[in-house]
Amino acid sequence: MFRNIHPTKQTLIMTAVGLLEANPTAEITSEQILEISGISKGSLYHHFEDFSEMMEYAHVFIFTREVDKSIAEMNMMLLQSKTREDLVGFLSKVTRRSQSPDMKSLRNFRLVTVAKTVTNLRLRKFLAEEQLRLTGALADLYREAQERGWANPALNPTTVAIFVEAYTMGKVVDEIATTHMDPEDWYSIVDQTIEKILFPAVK
Amino acid sequence: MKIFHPSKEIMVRCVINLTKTQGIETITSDQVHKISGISKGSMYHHFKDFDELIEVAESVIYASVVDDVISRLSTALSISKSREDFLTAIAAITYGNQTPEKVEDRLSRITYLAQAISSERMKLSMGAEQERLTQGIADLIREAQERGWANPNLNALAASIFLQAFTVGRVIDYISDERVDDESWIFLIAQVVDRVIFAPV
Repeated sequence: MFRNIHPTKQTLIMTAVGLLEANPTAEITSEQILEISGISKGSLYHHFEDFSEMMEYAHVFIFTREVDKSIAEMNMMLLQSKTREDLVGFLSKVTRRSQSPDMKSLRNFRLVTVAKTVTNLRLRKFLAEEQLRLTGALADLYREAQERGWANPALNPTTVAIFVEAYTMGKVVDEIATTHMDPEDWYSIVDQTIEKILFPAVK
Repeated sequence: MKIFHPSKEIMVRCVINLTKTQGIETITSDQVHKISGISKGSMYHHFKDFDELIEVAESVIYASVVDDVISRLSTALSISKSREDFLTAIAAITYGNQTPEKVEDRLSRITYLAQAISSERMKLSMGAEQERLTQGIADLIREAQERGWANPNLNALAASIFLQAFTVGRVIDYISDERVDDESWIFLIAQVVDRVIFAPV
């Protein structure tokens, strides 16, 4: 995401990222950002149209970082797998990391960011580009697995990518309820979906 | 649907009706007072402030979509004589539920979920609705498991959340104008429904 972004601009965005991560619902002001980063007000408005635009960059950065990490991890797994079974075993580990209760605040953050795009069209346009990139990268991995004969040839790779992103984020419906499911039960249903539908064994 | 005190119910219904013609954020307490005929004193007896009334209305709107699905699933279960009948009925529900006309519903559900994350009070009213929905779907899955029509190796509660999660989470696809083809989405969902959730014993 930070290719071709000026270092000062990066510093401003990362300052906002740090504050957002420390307290996702707090109101962040431009004064705070300028004080912490030591960058002048003139410089901030040179790099961004307005303060909200800078915050939008910070939101999109957090939104995409974790998915980028998972994509890099899955890419590595695909390279290291010699059989379908190797790959399914690796994916089951990714599920336990990416779907764990520890990732709750990130899931919430992603959902809040998507909700903001309903009214903020500039954010929507920006997030749409990043989202297409992420979905495209996931779809490429799936296509590669299909070529090796490890993934379901009847499925559209982009649809699979959206489906995986959808259930991962949609898990929020459990988090807002008063009682929660056992994480093991969730891993089990995801594992079964991966084994039977997304990466079925050839009969 | 939750049962409220009659005046409370009238005010909540009034807000929900107004959302059909205007954005929920533009509704004012004067409007609700004028249309419903309920006094401001009564309004603030039932709600701490006007925002609370709006939050309760949002929770009811949030739940109504899923309530509708629960009632259709429940009918499907009661009229089906075999797993095949049941799956055919479910396919029709999936089809109706994943079509583009539901885009707006899904976007508003996301907005309400986001509010529940940021506001404790909203989380209380939405959390209770969410709990009821999740349990409602889980009960139906449990019933299907008992009849041998659903995968016995799944926890009904987790399956209920999984169904809701990928349905709500599909908004990921709406951020950009390049969307996946509906047919391919319905095809994938049908595979998951037939072979994971309602897989034969």
